[in-house]
Parts: sequence; C-alpha cells; structure tokens
Amino acid sequence: MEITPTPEPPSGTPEPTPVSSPHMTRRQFLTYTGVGVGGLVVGGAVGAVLTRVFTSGQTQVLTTYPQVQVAHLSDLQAGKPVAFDYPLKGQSSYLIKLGKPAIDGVGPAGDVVAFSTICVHMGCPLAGRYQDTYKVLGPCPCHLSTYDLSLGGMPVTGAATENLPQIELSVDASGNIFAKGVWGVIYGFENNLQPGTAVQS
Amino acid sequence: MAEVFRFADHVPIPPTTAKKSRTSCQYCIVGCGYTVHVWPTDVPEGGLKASENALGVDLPASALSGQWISPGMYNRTVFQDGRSYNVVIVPDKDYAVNHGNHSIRGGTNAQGIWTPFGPTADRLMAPLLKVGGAQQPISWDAALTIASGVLKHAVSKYGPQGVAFRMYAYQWFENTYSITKLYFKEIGTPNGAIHNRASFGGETTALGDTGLDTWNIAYVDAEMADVVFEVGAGGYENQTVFFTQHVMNHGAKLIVQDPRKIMDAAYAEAHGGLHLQLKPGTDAVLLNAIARVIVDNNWQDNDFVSQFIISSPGDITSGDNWRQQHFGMTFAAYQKMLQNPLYETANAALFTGVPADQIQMAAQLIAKPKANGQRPKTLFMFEKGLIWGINYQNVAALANLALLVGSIGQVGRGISRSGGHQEGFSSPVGYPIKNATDKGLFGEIIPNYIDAHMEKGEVKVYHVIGANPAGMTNSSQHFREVLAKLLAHGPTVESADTNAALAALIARMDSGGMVLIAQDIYPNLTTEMADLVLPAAAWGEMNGVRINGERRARLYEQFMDAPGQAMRDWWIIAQIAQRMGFSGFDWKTDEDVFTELAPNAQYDASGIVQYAASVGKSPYTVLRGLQSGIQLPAKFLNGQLVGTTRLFEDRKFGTTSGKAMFINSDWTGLAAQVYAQLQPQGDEFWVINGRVDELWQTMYTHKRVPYILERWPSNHVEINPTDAGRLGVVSGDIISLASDRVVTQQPGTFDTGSFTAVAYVSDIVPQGVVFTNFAYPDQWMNSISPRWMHPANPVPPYKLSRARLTRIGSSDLALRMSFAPRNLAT
Repeated sequence: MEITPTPEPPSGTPEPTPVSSPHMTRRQFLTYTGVGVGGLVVGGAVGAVLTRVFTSGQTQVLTTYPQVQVAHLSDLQAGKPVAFDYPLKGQSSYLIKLGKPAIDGVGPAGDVVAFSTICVHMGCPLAGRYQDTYKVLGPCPCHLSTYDLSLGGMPVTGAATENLPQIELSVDASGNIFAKGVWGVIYGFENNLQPGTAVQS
Repeated sequence: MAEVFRFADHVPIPPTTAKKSRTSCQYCIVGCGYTVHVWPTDVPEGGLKASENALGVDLPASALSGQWISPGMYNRTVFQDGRSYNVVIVPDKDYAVNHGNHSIRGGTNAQGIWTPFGPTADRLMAPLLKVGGAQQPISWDAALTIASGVLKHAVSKYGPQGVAFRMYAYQWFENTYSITKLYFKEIGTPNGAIHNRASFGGETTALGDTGLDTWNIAYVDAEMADVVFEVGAGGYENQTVFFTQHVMNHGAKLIVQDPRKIMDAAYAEAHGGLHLQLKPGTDAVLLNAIARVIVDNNWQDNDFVSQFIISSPGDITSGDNWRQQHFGMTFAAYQKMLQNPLYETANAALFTGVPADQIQMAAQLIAKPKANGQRPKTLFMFEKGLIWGINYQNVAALANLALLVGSIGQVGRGISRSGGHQEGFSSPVGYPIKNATDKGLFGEIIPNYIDAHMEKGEVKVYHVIGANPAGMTNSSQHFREVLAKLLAHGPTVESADTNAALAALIARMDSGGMVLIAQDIYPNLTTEMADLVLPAAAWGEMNGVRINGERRARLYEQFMDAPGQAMRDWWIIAQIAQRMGFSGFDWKTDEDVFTELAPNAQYDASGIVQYAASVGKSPYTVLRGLQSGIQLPAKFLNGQLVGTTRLFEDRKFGTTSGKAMFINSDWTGLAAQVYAQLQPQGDEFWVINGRVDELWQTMYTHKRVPYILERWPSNHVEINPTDAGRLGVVSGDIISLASDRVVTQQPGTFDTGSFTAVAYVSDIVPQGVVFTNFAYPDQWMNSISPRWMHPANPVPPYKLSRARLTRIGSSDLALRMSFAPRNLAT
C-alpha cells in the first residue's frame, strides 16, 4: 500500500445546492441530480445516466441477468468512467479501468470494474464523483458516503448498509466487455431484475 | 485478490400480514426511529404495490424516501416456538429524529440480532459456572443460589464496601432501576461504576456546577443556529444522523475543535466554517483564550450576565456543593481569571497550536453582535474529546463560554453533550456518598475509584453488568493482572455441585480473594474470566424506555424472543435481591418496573404514568401511541401530557439562588501539573482515541456482522505520513503501541501496557499524534491509558495516552482493508 495523504476536496466537483428546508425534498434531490454528468456513454446499453425509472410499464420481465455488451477494452482509458445502465434502464452504472488490480476486476490487468452509481445509503447520485487518486466513488452529495472500487465497493466512509453494488463483468477473446450479473441490491429495489424495462442485449 | 463479503441480490418484501413493531436504534445517542416487520419464513413475501406489502408503499423505493429495505436491513432467526422468521428493520420515515435517514450502524440493526444462522449464534444462552477452570452450563436456580449466596456473605461479613458493581447506564430505565435499587438502595455499596469508567463520578460535573444540566437542547436547535461549535464530538462518525440530518445543509457555520482533521472539520472548511486543530489536551486553554477575546471586545451577552449570573460571592458559597464553593465565580472573578497571560491570543496560539487569527475568528463568529445588535445564535456541542481530557477544567471552560454568550434555553442556542450511547439511567436513591471513602481535592469525600479498592483487597464480589472492564477500564493491562491475581487467590471451584461451588467461592473471599460475576449478552474478555456468567436479553427481546440526546423518551417494543435461557437484566437482579431477602422486587412485567421507576428516571417521566392513569390506559400504551415519543421531563398538566423541548427556557438554574455561576477553568495548579506529567517525551507519541462510524462500543454485535467486520478486521492506528516515513511504516503494516510510562495516581510511578493495531497512514492526524479506536476488543487501547482519576470528579484522561510505536511487520490487511481518506467532504 502506498502512503496516501489526505487530499484537498476534489477539484471540479460542484458544491451541492444549499438546502434551506429542514428535510430534503424531492425537488431538492432533483437539483442534486443535475450535478456531474461525468461519464462517456458508449455501447448498446445506453440509458439516461441520472434518471431513475420508477414507473411500471415494463415491456419485459427479467428472471435472470441478461448478458449485455457495455464496451470494448479499447474504449477504456484509465480513470475515465463509462456510463451504462444495467440490468434495467435507469439502473445507472459506471465501467471504470482503475489502473490497479481490483476485487472481481476483469481485463488483462484485472483492473476493469463496474459499479452502480446510485448511493446505497439513500439513493442519491454518485455520477461525476469518481476520484482516481484513491479509486473511490464519492463523496455522495447528500450524506458524504464514499466507496472503494478496488475492494468490491466497500464503504470508505458513510452510512451505506451494503457495499456499492458491483456489476459482474466478463471479457471475450476480442476484448468485448459484457455485464452479466450484479452483486448486491441496487438502491430502491428488492430484486434487481424488476420492476422495470430491461436494457437491450 | 482478496475476497469480499457479498449480500444476496434480493430482499424479501414484508407481506401485509407481517407483525409490525416500532422502536429506536440499539446503538448511538441520536436514537433514530425504526420499524420492525416480522413474519414466518414459510409465509409468501409481499408484493411491489403499496396494497401488497407491509410498508404500504409502491416499490421500488424512491431516493431519500427512507423506505428502501436494503439487504443489510434483513435477517432471519428462530423464535422460542421453533419457527423460523424473517426480520426486516427499516428506518422510520415518520420519526421526528431521522425521517427515514440512518447511519451505517442503525441501518444494519437487523444484522446484529441473534440468529442461529449467522455469527451472532454464539450468544450467551445459559448460566455458566467456571468449574475446574472451564465454564459449564448450570440451571438458573443454581446460578441464582450462587450469586445471591456470595453477595449475602460479602455484605454480611464485609459490609457494603465488600461488593462492587459496574453497570451500563443506558440499556433501558427498567434494567438500570432494578440494578441501582439492589446495589445503592438495599446494599448501599459505594463501589459502583459506570460501563466506561471505574467510578460513579460524573462526566459533566463542572457543567452541573455552573447550574446547567447535561442534555439541554433539542435537535431542531442545530437547524436554527447561526453557528454550531463542536468540541471533541466528531458528529459525522459519532452522532451521525444528528450531523447529516440536523447540522449539514441547514446553513449554520460549523466550528470544529479537534486535534484531527475529521470529516466534520473538512466539511466545516468547505462551508465557510473553521477547524481549530489544537494540540491534544489543550482544550481549556483554547476555550479560555476565545473567552478572553470576547471580553476584551465586550462581545459578551451583558443582559444575560447581569440578570442570570450570580454577582455576589456570598451566593456562590451559600450551597452545600464543595466544588461550587471552591470553583464558583462571579463574572468579575471570571474576567480576572481570563487575564492570565496564557490566554492572550499570541500565547494561547503557541500553547494550543491554533493560529491566532482562528482564535479571533472563532470568538467573532460565536459572540460578535451583528450591526443591528442581534447576537449570533450559537449551539455548543461537546463530547469525549473534552470530557476525557483534564475533565473538570475542560468542561468548565466550555460551560463558561456558553454562559458568557448567553447560549442556553433558547431556540438555536444552547450547550449539550453530543453523547455516545443513549441514556437510560434510573435510580431510586442517589449514589451513597456517605459510604464512600475516597478523598478529593480538598479532602472532601468523592465517589470511590473501584479498581483501587479491588487492588487493596477490599472487594469480595465484583458484579459486572453489560460492560467489559477487563479490556476497557483505564490502564487495563495493569487491571487484568490485578483481576487475575484476585480470582486465583485461594480456592477455585472444582465441583459443579451448587453447594460445593458456593462454599468454595465463600472460602476464596475469606482467604483474601474475589468472586467475579459477569452478566452480558455475548462472551467477552470479562465473561471469560468470570466465575459465574448470567445470560441477559438484548435489544428487541424486551420492552423498555430510554432517551436520546434531546431527552426524547419512547417505548422500545419487544419484537423477538430472547434466545435460549437468556433473561431480562431486571429479572435477574430481582431474583438475586429476593433470594438475599430484600422486598420490593416482585415485578411481573417490564411495564411494572417502568411504572415504579418513572419519577426516578434520568429525567422525570412520572407525567406519563399520571396521564395514563387519568385516561384509563397503561403507561406503555400511552408511549406506544406517541408518534415520536416525548421529550422528558414529562409533566401531567391540566389533563394533558406535556414534554419539554429544551431545558432552562425559564432561566431558573440549578443553584441555591437560581442563578448560574462561572466555574474556575484556569490552567494553573492541578490541571497544568497533570498535563505536564501526561506529555509524551523523546520518541513517544500522543495516543488519542475515539469511535469510528462503523463500530459500536466494544463491537459486541459488530464483531459478528461480516459486512462491518470486513471494514475493520483489526484495530487501526492513524499515523501522519511524515511519521510513517520516518518509522518505515506503510498502511497495512502491524504496529505495536507500547508504554512503560503509563501515568498512575502516584507521580513518578508508572504502569506498563501495549496493544497492536494496523497502520492507516493519513494526514487526518498531525505529526506526533496517532489515533486509535477506543474500544476495539482484544486490541485494547486502554492497556496504555492513564491510571489517574480527576480529584474534583473521578474520571480518567483516556484521550491523553502516550506510547512508542514499533513496526512489527506487514500483513494481508494491506490487500483487504480500504486505506482511502476518511475525510472526503463536499
């Protein structure tokens, strides 16, 4: 392990909108969702990065995790997240080449991982908050939860009651990266596969 | 690569038929509300529509709704009927404290319940007797015969001084009342101790001496304050939902007084506040220096001071409180005290390490009136960083500052402990000071330091209830030697026969040894050393009442059976008391105990009982009907049940005259001398300690929750990168922290102690200072904490320990633990 001095707050991370009422309202939550759309969106599984689908009206009920191509190894630059949804539209996730071997990482260096970008404390958005210096996602704008992406999404700090859900990946011989499952439960859901609209496989 | 703990990828949804209970968290002072849903595992789960599930909400849950059941909120257990049940424990979105918010501790309440299917299966489930050196199960009848037999013998032959007990102060009024009724009222022993210290000395005695109370405020005050001044409290990790729900994002400027750049400090700096990063133990000097700036600029609240502070020295000495007589001050005397050159900004900056401009700025933020004459509303919150230094002077210095700016009993203003555990202390009588023998500062009798009386051989039976003094008392390596010697002195139990065992234990007492009884929920170092172990019921396994940090009382409903033969603590004590021949212990239910204790609860709860009687309901029924509990004291007024939002709104203070007084907080004499003795020298480091967010107390549950344990598989020690470089240490290395200079009551006489921890290299700590967890089991930092008790009120300076650090070697923790910074604020 390297010595890791404490940094200044990450540059380029917008200040959260001040909240004046005692408890955050839905509207205020939506103002948070306006910050930090930081991911490059590629591949076939494109969804709105920060829009959750809460309504029913799904066209297909999933019973098993679909295998979905999310990127090619050549699309990835170390430290630059790629956004995708999985397994349902609105279940926003990041694919990241950490540049450091990670638990359940794939690719030649075992450093390619994917995680949900919805905080598993209270559902606020983590997109735009990847800090490559520490390989962490966070702090969450709502209550400052931060997750270590090299260690299966283990919380570094904060109030999450499970690790950040990690997307199970595989890579084929040509370097195509596929999502094929989820470890943990994505915020809001009791079952990652329903209800909602499956992403296209 | 290492493995990581993974929850399943789905959680069963409680069906509409699930049994619903309401309670508050088993952990920290904030006391967030939780809803518990229980249903048999062979009953189909509920559906996604509001009409199909017990939560009554459409799923998936939306962001910030507080209605999501995460996998950490679910568990499965078995009740006494032999059936298997699903248990879901979710934050209560309608509870006034948390509105669905939760910490990592409370959010994983379900993981900490007893279940035969997981690591909590090793609960204490039968009484145990140590026979031939190993503990064997015995019957309750045998256990109670032995417990009452040894106590009766000790009291009759050696008097009340012949027994000692250490009890938790929080695990419901019902239990603490039963314990104090036996030990204080009936036996009258002066050898009582609270879970975290070896005496009944108060932690906020100086605050009480000013005329204020300990828990004065309402959480909503943090939302209304202009400034929140947090001293040694670490709200984000210690009172998480107080911080994230009531402090963050409400506009108050945050001032954080702490030797470490904790999350609160990083947040304060990111939001226009201040981090006063002082040298360990210099709190009183810094606070006095801030007060000096205030009086030099005439920024004090002159109206408050002239109306509500004692101005005549005669009024200070009129009461019978010896500390007030010695330390009480008028404003004039306090001003004079502040003229000590040490409190000039430049000198204080040198002494405390806090830059002069920050001392000025802090004074300005909390006290300088605005152009229109309005005073800033300041809320002072403090906890163990202040309490566990040079206690009396530290607490006095902050209390003085609050009085100086009139910060008490108003919306958005006040002073309070931030708190650790919830509060649930109740006693029918006060501490029996007339039986105590310890001498304080001026020869007055103070509460006994029980470890010292054990060491002298005066204590024959030591009953520990919900505490772990073998690891957690101050200078615990020394105390473990004392304990081992006393338990091995004279006969040991070699026969499981009840009468033979009792006879052997009595013979041990009479030959100069001691008997240890441990009453707890899980095995720990103290239960393992005990002659007799009594298994107790835990959170969720009985009904009980207690309060949070704003005195909010509520009913904690029972939602599951205690496992095996574990029994309620009040019942165990009542059985012992009755066998000793004491009457008044014949309660049948939790509610019977509550009804009796209500006037003697930590804050008066008798209004609940009176109101209940007036409407023909039981007290628990009334409590159950209160959506967000009730803030004590609770009064029955004009047919109504009335709570108390904040104390001292009437400005009548707890002194003979009803006016408050300043308390001498000068850094001279005793305080300065002891601080000098505690200083590290040469290659020693200051070793300060505290909680980490994820771990509760001695980890009695969290040691058994894989999700939590994975984050902290070892005690850790934060080391500044420069110090780490010099020692050749990197994160993940195992470090020994050892001292042969552990301060004791006798100047120049030292204990030795040591423990290990994994290095967490971070500039959250300054050079020369390391930080470690205060209660990590078996890697006990208290092995090196000072065996010194403050002679004004006996509590130790736990935070001011010292040690030399040695790298023992590398470990696989380097691959399994996260060493990312824990103060990334935004």
